[in-house]
Amino acid sequence: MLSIRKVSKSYRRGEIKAVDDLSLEVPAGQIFGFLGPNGAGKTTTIKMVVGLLRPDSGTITVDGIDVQARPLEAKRRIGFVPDYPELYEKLTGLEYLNFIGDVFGVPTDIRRSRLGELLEMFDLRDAVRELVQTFSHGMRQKLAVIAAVLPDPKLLILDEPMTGLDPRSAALFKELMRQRCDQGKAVFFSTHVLDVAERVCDRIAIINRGRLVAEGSMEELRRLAAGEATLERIFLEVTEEKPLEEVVRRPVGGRRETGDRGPGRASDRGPGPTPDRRPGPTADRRPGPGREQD
Amino acid sequence: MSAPSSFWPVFRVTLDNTYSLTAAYHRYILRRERLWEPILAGFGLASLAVIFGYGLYQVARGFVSAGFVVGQPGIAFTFSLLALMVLLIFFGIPAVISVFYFSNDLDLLVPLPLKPGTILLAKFGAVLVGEYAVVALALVPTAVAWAQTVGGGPAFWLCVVVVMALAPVIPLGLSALVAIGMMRFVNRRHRDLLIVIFSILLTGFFLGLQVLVFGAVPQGQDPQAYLQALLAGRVDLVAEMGRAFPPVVWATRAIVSPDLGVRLGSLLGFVAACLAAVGAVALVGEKLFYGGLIGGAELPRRRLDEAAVEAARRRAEAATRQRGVLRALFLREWRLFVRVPIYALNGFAPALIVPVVFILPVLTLRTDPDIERLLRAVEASGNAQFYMALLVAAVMLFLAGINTTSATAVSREGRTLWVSKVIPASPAQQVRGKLLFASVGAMVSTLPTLVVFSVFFGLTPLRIVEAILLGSAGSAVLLIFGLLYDMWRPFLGWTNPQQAVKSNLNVIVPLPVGFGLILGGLALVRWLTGSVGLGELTVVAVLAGILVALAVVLYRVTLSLADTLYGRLEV
Repeated sequence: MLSIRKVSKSYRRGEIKAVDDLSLEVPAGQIFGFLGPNGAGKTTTIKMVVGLLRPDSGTITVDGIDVQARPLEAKRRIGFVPDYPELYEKLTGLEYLNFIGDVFGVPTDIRRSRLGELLEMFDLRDAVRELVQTFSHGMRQKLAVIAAVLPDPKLLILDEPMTGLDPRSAALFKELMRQRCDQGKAVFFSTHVLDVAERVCDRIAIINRGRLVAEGSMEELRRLAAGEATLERIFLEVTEEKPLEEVVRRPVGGRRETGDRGPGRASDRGPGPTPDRRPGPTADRRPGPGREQD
Repeated sequence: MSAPSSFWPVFRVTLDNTYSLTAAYHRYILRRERLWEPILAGFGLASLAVIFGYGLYQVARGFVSAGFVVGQPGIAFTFSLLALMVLLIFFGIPAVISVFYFSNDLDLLVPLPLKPGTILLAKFGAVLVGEYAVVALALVPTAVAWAQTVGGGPAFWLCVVVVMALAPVIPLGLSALVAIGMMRFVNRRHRDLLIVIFSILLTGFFLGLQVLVFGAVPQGQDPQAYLQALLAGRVDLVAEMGRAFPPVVWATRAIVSPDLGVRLGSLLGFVAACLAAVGAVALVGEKLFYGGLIGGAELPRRRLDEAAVEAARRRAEAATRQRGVLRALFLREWRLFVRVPIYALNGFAPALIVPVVFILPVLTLRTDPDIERLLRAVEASGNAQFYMALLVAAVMLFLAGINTTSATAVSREGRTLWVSKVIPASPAQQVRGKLLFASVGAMVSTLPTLVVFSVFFGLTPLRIVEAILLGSAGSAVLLIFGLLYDMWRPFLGWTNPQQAVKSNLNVIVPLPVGFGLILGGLALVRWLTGSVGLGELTVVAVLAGILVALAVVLYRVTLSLADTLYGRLEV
């Protein structure tokens, strides 16, 4: 459904390489989790897929359609929720949804029935007639999700979709994602909530410094990461330059807060031996420059 | 508790955020990118300042002389200050609301250990700084006219500078108090409408005042003499105004009084009034600012009876009917424009002000013997109607030149641009939607001018058609050009809606093009009617043909560039 091939993107005339030769395949019928530390290149990748940024090189196709060559056809197949949805403050929620319905060409009867279900599901039925400027962050997030789902796109792309959603809405949303995949559609989403990724995703890709460092199902990732049990451990294993213990050994203020090396002041200890750093699944740990965007 | 000294860091950061100072420093000084922008903007603004400043200087000279004749020498400053203050109150309310309540830094500032009054005063200061260009335009010509007529030493100029520095404090303070009260106590659903209504009422008051002062010149009387008679008829007009609004008189006396004691006392009175205004803003802000701010972010649930629920259901059903893409794009533009008071006022207020501003001199000057002779000569030439139609077309062009609808069409999207980038509507379609809205906006804006001029000059239907034809074609050129430029260099990084239209240099770009069209058109008319000897209808046809061709070419260029220019915009 989504194919990213050898895509690169730099900022400041190549000074900052945000995404570096990235390749990914998101098949239909799957929920694909896209993980990475801050500044890894997740948002940049997502923005290139939805047409907010242009890749410097490489190709991105959605349902076989090149997003650069035929952007409108590609966009008709995509529903997108950005990490912080800046919506039109001076439209009511309903006006915004109708605008989206109109530009995606959603027929009246289908629109009414879908809106009825979605507004009920996300508990926005009453609020939808108010101006967006009165919405809380969570309500905006829900409105953005409804707008993304309203045209029934083949590919749903979400950047940190759980941010701001209450537990009920988050649970509903996960169910919605699963339903869509059962219908043969695909969901591609970035998140920092590793528990969610672990439980919801069929496949997971981890990106670090613009490069793919691991990809596979949870089982495959566990195998690749030599049996690390949780996604959190796998994530840290493949993305950290230094062991976590080394980083938190001397917390801000100088007092030891965490440590599995036994009690004692940080200053009492020497640097200590560097733990065994097994290479990650793709063993790509090339240092890169700083990042401008996620 | 916020320390008293916390005002300055908050003010600095607010000023920076409101006017994007650091961003400009990085772009123009450190990275030396797009240096032509400030140069062009500076040149454009300087040209406008010279043109308007010279006009105001001429008016001020008349007032200074008339003031001396009737024994009220300070009347020029009194009128300048009064006009400035009314103008600042009028434009101040939406500006203050925009900066106070809709800046994107509020989420950062409110959680900090700062008093509401500190945040509010910092924002008040930022709005204040933005008004100094208008203050200079209003008072410098008067000061220069005074200095030329009476002479001005260092003390005079020092007082002028102090008065100029403090002049916007009281009107913006009043605007701030109205805005804070409105945001705190008026139902959120009615606020925007109230702001627009209030501003229109103030405009009406302002225009009415002008009409009363200038338009009441009796037939056949010299306006200069009439003005003198009007002023002389009052025992002390300055004192009369002082009773209504004393700070204006204190400021006037601080500048012009020959008595040092009176001057110092008046200056102290004016400074005290300004401090009182700031104190009132701080006090009221301390009590009410967060109430309005937080109240604006909350969603009160309405209790609806069955009938209301049914009505809402029917409205929602009607609203969910599918529309075409172009109509949807147009509706989006329309709603987002008219619902933001600062956009609506900047876009549509000139439509009301300009006709009156153009008509007033005619009303007052037609009694001037020289002008009367000129008008008679034009009428005698047999083609007065033709020139009046051209004048109406030129005014329509001027209105299109200052119209912000198309010149900020992309900029206004700001952080919501991502929506336009991800929807399956081609950039060309979006351009059509924006142009359709801008055209409707321009039509609405030019309608009062057209009606007023047509009635006033008694234009025949044919001449009205000619004016509409030329004005519309020329306006189309300017609107398309404005959109094209804004698409090329949009200002998307604004932090409150006021910046999108008031701090956006793209707004002034179509204006020189408009002047160029008017001057070029006039030269062509002169050549075609004079040297070539064509008839009026043929000349209109030629002009209209050229303008339509220009508009069509520009439209096609804009559509063909839309993909590239929209594609370049990365968010």
